[in-house]
Amino acid sequence: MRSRLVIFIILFVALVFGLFFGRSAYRAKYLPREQYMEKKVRVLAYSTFVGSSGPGSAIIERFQGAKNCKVEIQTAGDAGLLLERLKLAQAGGVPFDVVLGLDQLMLEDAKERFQWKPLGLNRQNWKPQVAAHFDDRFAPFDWSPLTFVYRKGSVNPPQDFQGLVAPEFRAAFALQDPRSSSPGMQFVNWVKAVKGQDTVGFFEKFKPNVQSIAPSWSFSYGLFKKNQSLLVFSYVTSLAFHWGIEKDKQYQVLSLNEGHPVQIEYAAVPADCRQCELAQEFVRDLLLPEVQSEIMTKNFMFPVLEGLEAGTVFAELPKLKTIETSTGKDLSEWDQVFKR
Amino acid sequence: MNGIKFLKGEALGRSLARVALGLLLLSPYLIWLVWIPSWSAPSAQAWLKPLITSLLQAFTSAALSVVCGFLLFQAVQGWRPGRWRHVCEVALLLPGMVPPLFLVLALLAWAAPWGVAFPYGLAAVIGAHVLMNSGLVAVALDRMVYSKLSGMTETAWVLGASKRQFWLRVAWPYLKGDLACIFLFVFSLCFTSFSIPLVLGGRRAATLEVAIFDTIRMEGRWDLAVVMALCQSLILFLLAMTLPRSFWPARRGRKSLPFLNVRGLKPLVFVPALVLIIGWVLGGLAGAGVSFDPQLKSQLIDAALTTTTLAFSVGLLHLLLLVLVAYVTPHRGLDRFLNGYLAPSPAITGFALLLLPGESETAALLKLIFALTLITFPLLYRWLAHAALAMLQKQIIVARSLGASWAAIVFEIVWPQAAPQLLRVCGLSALWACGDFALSGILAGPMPTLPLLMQGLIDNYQIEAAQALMFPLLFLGLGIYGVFVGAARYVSR
Repeated sequence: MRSRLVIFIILFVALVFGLFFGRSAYRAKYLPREQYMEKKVRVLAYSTFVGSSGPGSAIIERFQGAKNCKVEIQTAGDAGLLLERLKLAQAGGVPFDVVLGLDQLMLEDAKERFQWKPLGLNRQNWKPQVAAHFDDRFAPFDWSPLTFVYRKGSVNPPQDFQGLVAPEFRAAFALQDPRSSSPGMQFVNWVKAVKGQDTVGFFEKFKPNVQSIAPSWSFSYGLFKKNQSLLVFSYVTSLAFHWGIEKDKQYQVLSLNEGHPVQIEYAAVPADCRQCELAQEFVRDLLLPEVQSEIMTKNFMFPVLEGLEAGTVFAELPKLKTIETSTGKDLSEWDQVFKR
Repeated sequence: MNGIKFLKGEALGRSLARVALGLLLLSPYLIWLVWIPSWSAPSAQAWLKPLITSLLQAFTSAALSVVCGFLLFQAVQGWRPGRWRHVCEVALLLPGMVPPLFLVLALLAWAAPWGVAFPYGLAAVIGAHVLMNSGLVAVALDRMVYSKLSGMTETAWVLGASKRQFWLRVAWPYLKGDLACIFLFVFSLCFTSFSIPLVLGGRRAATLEVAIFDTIRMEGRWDLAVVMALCQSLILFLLAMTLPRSFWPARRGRKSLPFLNVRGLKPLVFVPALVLIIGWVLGGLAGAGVSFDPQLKSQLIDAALTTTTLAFSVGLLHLLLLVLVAYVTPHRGLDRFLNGYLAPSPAITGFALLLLPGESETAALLKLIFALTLITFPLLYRWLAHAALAMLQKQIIVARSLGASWAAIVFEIVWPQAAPQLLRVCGLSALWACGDFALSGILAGPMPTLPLLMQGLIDNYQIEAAQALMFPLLFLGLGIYGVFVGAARYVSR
C-alpha cells in the first residue's frame, strides 16, 4: 500500500509538472525574442482591458515592437480594486509603472493617496467633454455618456426624469450596486445632480420601477440581454456593439432633457515607477490616433480625439446632452431608500 | 535506545507538522497581521445589520435544507441498491459539488426564456442555498441512518411501529447530535457564502461576506475587513467547538430501508439536479451556434491548459495536505481546529497572497493554487475527510499500543482504508478550482483561465459566447474529478 501511495503521488506530481511544462511550451511558441530583454514596463489594468476581446494585447504588442522593451501586465480583476492592488504592490516593493483603468470616481482617491508623474500631454484635438477635465497627471483614453438602453417597441421612451418614475415602468430598470460598480455610483451621482434636495424623494418613487440591482455592470447587462429587464443603465456606446457587431438596430438609448453623466477612463504613471520614461511614453501612446481607434472598436467606448468615428458605427450613435456630476461616493440618500 | 530516540524525534516532527499546518491555514490572517500597521474596530453600523442578515439567512437556509433533505432522504429509500441508487447519490450531491457560479447561472436561466423577473432578495438566496445543500443533507442522513440504525429500523418494522414512532422514539435520541452537526455544517456554508448573496441578494440581503467586500472596495480599509472576517471565523469556530463530530460516514448504505420510504416521493430525488441541468441547457441553448473570433480560439487552448494545470495542482496539494493530516492526527486540538475553522473570503485571502514575494507568471500560478487550497481545504476536510480519518482512530490506537510508528500507521492503516474518500476530496477540490473566477481575477494576472475568459466575454457584451463556454468548462471539471475518482477506485480495488 505504501508503494501505491508513493506511485500515486509520483504520478500526480509528474502529471502536474507535465502540465506546467506543456503549458509553458505551448505559450513559448508565441514568445518573441523581446520577451527576454531587460527593459520591462509593469502595467496594472483591469482584466477586461487585457482579456481576449479587449484592446490591451494589440496595444502592448505594438508598443513592445516600437520601443524594444517588454510590457508586463498585472490585473486587479475588478477595476474598483486597482488602487488597492497598487497600494499592495508599492508596499511590497514592486511598484507598477502604469495604472490603466481609473475613472473620475477613483481620481479623488488616487490623488489623495498616491503621487503621480506629470505626463506632458498634448491636448490638441481632444473632445470638449474630456478636455474639460484636464489634469496632466491623468491621461484620458476613452469615454462615453451613460444612459438607459432599451429595445425599440418594448417601452415608450420617457423624455425626462419625471418619466422614469411612471407606473408603466414598474420593475423595468436594471441598475448596478453603487458599492461594487462604477456605473452604479454614476447613477446615484446623476440623480443627485439633477434632483438635488429631492434625491430621496425621487429614489422613493423610482424604487418600484427597479427590477434588479446587480453587483456589476456586466451582470445587469446580461439580465437585460436575457429579457429580464426592459431597460438597463449602461453606456451610449453599448449601441455600437449591437448596431455594429450584431447588426441589430432594435437597441436604443434614452435621451433625457436633464442631460447625462459621462464616464472617462484614465491611465497614469505612479511617482515611484521604475521605467518612468517608457511608462510615460506608453501612456502618451494611448492618445495616438491608431491606438485610439483600437480602443474604440475593442472597448466599445468613444475615442478622446476628434474625427476618428467617421465612417464607423460610432458616428451614427445619438449625441446626448451631458452634465457635470459629483465624483463623491456618498450613498446616504441611496441607503435611505434602497437599504431598507 | 535508538528506537526511543526515533519515537521522540517522530513525536517532535508531528508536533512541528501540526503547528505548520495550523499556521499554513491561518496564513492569510497572519500576513495581514504583519502587514497592517494600525487597527481599528468597525462601527456597529457597518457590521451589525449584515451580521443579523447573515445569521437569519444562514439559519433559515440550514433549517430548510435539513427539512428538504429529510424529504429527499425518504425519497432515496424508494430506490433499490445498485446502479440507480448510486446515480441517486450523484444527482443529490451535484448541486453542492458544482461551483456557485454554475448554480447561479442555472437559476437565472430559468427565468430568462419566459421574461419572468427573477425574485432577487433574501428569499432567492435562501432558495439557492436550499437547492445546493438539501441533497447533501439527504445523503448524509442516508449514510448515518444506515450506519447507526439499520438494524433498529428492521426491528421497528417487524414490531409494527409506525414511522412517526420510529422517528420520534428511536431515531431522534440517536441522531439528534449528528443532525445538529449537519445543521451546523450547512449553516457554516451558508454563513460564509459570497457569490450567491452578492448576485442574488440585491441590496437588502447584504450579508457579512458582502459587507467585507464592500469595506475593501469602497473604503480600502483592510483592517476593518480583516477584523470582520476574523469575527466571522470566530463565531463559526465557537459554534463548531460545541459539536466537534463528523456527520458523514465514509461508506454509503448497502441496502435501502423500505420501511422509511414514502410512496410517491421517489422521483423527488432528481429534482435538485434537474433544476440545475435544465437551467444549464436553457442557458446553453442561447449560446448554441455562436462563433468565436480567431483570437479567442487561440486563447481557448491556453486557457484550458492553464485551468487543467490549476485544477490538478490544487487536487495534488489537497492530497499532500490530507496525507500530512493523516500523519499528525489523531490530535484533539487539531481535530477541533480543523472542524471549526473556515477560511476568510477570497478577497482577503487573494490580496494577502499578493503581499508575498514573487511577481512572475509561475509565482502567480503557485499563489493561485495555494489560495484555492486555503479556501477549499478546511471546508472539504470537515465535510468528507474528517469522517474517513476519524473512523480509523481505534485501529490507530491499537497499532500504536503494539508499537507501530506513525509513518507505518499512515501507510499501512490509514491510507489503504481512507484513500478512496481522500482522493474524492482531491477531485472535488479540483472541480471547484476549475470554476473559480473570484481568486483567479485577483491572482492570475494575465494568465487566461476558462472562467476568466468567460468573464471577459461577458464584459464585452458577448454573453452568448460566454454561455457556450460553460459546457466545456463543466466537462473539463467533471473530467478531472473523474480522474481522481478513477484513482480512488483503483486504490480501493
